[in-house]
Amino acid sequence: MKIIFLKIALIAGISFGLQFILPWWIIVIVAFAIELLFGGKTSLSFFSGFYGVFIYWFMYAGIIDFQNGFLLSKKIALLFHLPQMPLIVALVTALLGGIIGGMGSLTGNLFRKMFNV
Amino acid sequence: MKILRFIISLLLTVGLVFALNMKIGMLPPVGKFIDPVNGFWQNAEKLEPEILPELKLNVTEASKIIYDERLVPHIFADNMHDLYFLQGYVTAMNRLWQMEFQTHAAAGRISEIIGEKAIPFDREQRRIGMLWSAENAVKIFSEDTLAKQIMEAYSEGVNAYINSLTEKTLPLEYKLLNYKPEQWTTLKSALLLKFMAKMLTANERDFENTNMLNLIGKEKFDLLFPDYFPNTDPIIPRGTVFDSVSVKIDTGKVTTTGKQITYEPIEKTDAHIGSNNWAVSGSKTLSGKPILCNDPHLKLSLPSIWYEIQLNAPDINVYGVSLPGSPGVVIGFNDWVAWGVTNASVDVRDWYEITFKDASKKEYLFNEKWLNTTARVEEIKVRGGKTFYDTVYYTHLGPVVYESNFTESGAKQQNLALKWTAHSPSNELKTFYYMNRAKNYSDYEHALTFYQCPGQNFVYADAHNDIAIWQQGRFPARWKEQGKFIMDGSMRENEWQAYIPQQQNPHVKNPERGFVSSANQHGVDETYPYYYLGIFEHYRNRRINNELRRMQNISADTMFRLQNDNYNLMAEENLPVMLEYVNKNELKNDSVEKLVLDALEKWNYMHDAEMIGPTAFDLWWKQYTTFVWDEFEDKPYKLIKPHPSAVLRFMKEFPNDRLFIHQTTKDRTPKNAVNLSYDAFYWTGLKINELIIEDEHPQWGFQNAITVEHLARIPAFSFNNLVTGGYKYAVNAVSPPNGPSWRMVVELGNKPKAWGVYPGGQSGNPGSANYTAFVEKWAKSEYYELLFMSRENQEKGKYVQQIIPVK
Repeated sequence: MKIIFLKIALIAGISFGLQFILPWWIIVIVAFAIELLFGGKTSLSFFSGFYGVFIYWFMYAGIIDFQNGFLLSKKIALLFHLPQMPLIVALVTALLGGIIGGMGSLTGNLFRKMFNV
Repeated sequence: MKILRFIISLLLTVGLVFALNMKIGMLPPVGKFIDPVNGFWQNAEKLEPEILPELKLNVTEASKIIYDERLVPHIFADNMHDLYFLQGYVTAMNRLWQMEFQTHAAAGRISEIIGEKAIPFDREQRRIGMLWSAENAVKIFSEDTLAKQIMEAYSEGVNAYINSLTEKTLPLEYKLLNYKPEQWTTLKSALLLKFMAKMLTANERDFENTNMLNLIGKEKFDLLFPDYFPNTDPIIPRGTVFDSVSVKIDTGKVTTTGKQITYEPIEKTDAHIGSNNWAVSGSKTLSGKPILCNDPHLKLSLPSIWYEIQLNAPDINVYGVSLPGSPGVVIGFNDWVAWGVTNASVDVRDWYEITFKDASKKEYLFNEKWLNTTARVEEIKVRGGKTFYDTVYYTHLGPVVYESNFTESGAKQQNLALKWTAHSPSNELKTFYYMNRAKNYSDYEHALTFYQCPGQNFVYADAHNDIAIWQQGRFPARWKEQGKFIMDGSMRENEWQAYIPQQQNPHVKNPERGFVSSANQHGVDETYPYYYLGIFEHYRNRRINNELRRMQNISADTMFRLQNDNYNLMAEENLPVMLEYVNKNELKNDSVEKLVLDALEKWNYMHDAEMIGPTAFDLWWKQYTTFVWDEFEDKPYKLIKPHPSAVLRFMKEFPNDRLFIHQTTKDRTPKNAVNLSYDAFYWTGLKINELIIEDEHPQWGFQNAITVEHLARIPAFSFNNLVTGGYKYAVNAVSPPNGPSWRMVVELGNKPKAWGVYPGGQSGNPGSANYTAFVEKWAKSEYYELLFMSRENQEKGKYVQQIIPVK
C-alpha cells in the first residue's frame, strides 16, 4: 500500500525536475515509466499518475496564483467560462494534468502486466 | 486481452496528449497553455515587479535604466545607439505583442495569426497600399544616415529582447494564439507609422458626398454640408494675414456621373477621433511661465497605444509618451520646450475613377493617353489554409483599390484609385528626433519641416515664454471643392498639381490673445488663400477658446479642470430651440415626460457621470436626428448625416422644410420641426422610463460607460464598462470607444513640472498588476506628477538596473 505514496512522490518530483528542460507532456512519460518500474495493482495505477501530477501542478499553479493576487487566473476563468474564484483555474489545471498523468501511469502499469510481472 | 487493454490505454493517452498539444479552432493547445511551468501561469507576474539589478546587453557603453514606482523607465545612456537600443529593449519587454500585432495589422498579415476570416481585412490593407508605402518608407530611412542609425539601434534592442525569450517567457497572447514573434525590422517601424497615418487620415467622405450630391443636388448639398459653419473659431485666430498663393494650379470642375457608389467604404476613422491641445503664455499664468496641455483622443485600447518613457543621453533629456514600435517621444517635454499634437483632420485622401482600356487592366486613360499600370501581387498567407494572392493595379495616382477583383460579386462598377499622402515617402522620424532635442522656437520650426503625414497641429511652448502652433503636414493645393466628390481620374486638372508650400501651412507664434489652441477645428478662416477640405470639429474647440479667453492666473489645477470639462456647447446651442417646441401644458404633473423636461430645463449642459439630464438630451437628440434625416436611412449606398449645426440652422430658418416630414412611419401627416421634436421627446420619456423600470441606471456615467478593449478584442483582457462622464462634443471627449488616450499638462520654467495619465498601464501583460494600473485614476480625472529626472537628480527612482555591455 505504501508503495503508491512513493510512486506519487516520484512522479511529482521527477516531472518537476524534467519539466524545466522538456515539454509539458514529459509528465506522461514519467508516470508511465514509474508504473513500469514499480508495478502494483492496476486498479490503483491510475491514481499514482493522477495524484503525482495533480499535487505538483496544483501547488505550482496555486503558489503562482497567490503571488499574482489571482489577477490572471480570474481573466483566464472569464476566457474559458469558469467561475471567477481564486484557485478554481489552478484546480482545473491540476485536474487536467492529473488525468493526463493518470493515463500515463495506467498505461505503464498495463504494459508491465502484459509480461505478467 | 492484456495486450488489447494496453493498446487501448496507450492509444487513449497518446491521443489525449496530441489533442492537448494542438490548436483546435480558437482554442490554444490546452495542455501547453495550462502547463504551470511554461504555459500561461508563467505570465502571472508577482505583484511586486521583479527587475534585475543588472542586465548584460549589446550596448557600447555602460548605461542605466531607472524605473519609477509607476514603472516608467528613465533611460540614461551615453550615446545615441545605446539610447535607442534600450528604448527598443524596454518597450519590447513591456509591449512586444502589441508592437507586432499592430504592425501585422498594418501590413495586412492578420490571416497568418487567426486564419481565413481575416482575409477581407488583410486584403483591404494591402489594396490601400499600406505595405507598399511602408516598403517605400524603408528606402528613405535607409538612405538617411541619421534615420538609419536610429531605426537600426531600436530594432537591435527589440531583437535582443525577442532573442532572450523562451517558451516560458513568451508574452501571453503568443501562447494563447499559439504563434511566435518575428525579428523586428525597420519595415515594422515604418508600418507602425502608416498604421497611425491611416488611423488619423482615413476620414474622407468622397463616397458619401458623391452619393448625397446625386441624391439631393448641389444646392441642397451646399446648404446641408457647408465648408464653414457659422461661429467657426479657427486655430489661427481670425484677422491673421496670410501670404497669397505661391503655386499655380489649373482649375477643374466638380462633375459627377450620377452613379451611386454602392461599394462598402473601406474601414474609416471615427469622426470623433480628435484631440485637444493648447498653450497659454506666461502673461495668463500664475507662475508667469507658459503651460502646455494635450489630450489626444483615440480609440482606447489595452495595451494602451502609449508607453511613457524618459530618454537621456548627452544631447537629449526628454520625457513623454512614445508609440511602441517607433523610436523617440511623440508627445512630451524636455528641459526647455514642450509640445503636443492634435489631428489636422485635413483631407489628404482622394478617390479617382479609373478607365481601363480593357479587361487586362494593363492600361488606363489619363490626359487623352493610355498609360501603363503596374501590377503588384500581394501574397496573403493564411493560417491553416491556402495562401491568398491578390493583384493590385497601380496607376500614377495610386493603387486601384476597388475594381472587379475586389467586389464580392465581381460586379462591374467603377474602378476607384486612392491618392493618399501616406503613399509618398517621408521621414517623420526626424521630426521627433529634432523635437525631442529642441531648445527654442527655431529648433521646433526646423523639426516640423520633416513632417508630412498624418497632418497634425503641433502646439509648442518654451521656457523663454514663446508659444506657437503650426498645422503641419503635406496638404494638396486644391481648386475649390477638388476632391470633395469622386473625381474622373482621366482628367489632368483633377490630379493633385501641387502641395501647399510648407512655409504657408497655417501657423501662429505668440498671438495677442495670449494662447494658442486646437481641437480639430478649421485651421484658418475663409481668407486663407488655399482651398482645403476636412472633417472639422465645431464645439469642443470653441468651448476651449471661450474658457481660455476668460481665464487669468492659470495654474496646472485650472488646466486639469479644463481638460476634464464636460460642458456640451452643442446642447447649449440646440437644446433651447428644441425645448421651445415642447408644449409644457400638455404634460401631466407626475409623468416621466414632466420629469425629463424638468431635468433638461435645470440642466447646466454638463455631461457629468451622476446626472440624468445628459442621458435625456443624448436620447432626445439621437431620436430627433433619426426622425429628421430619415430620408437618408436604409439606402443601398452610404450617406453621412448632416452636422448638428446644420440641424440647428434648419430648425431656426426652415422649420417647415420637407426634411421634417416623417418618411419612415406610416404616419404621413405633414410634420414640421415642432412636432417632430415633440415626437422624439415623447419617445425619450418612454426610453427613460424603461431605463428606470429595468434598473439600468439612467445616470449619464452608466450610459456613457466605456470599455477599454484589448487589441485582439478578448473581453477577458479588456477593462469593461468604466463609468465616467464626458461627451463627444465636450472637451473631455469620452465617446465610447474613443476618448482622451493621454492627458498631459506641462508647466515650463527653470525646471519643467508635468502631470499626466492614460487609461492603461506600463505593462502590456494582462497578467501584471501594471496592466490597467492607471485606468481608475484616469476615469476619476486625476493625474500623476511625472518624474522628470536628470543625470544629477535620480533619487526618486524605485528600481535601478545597470546595463553592462557584452564584450
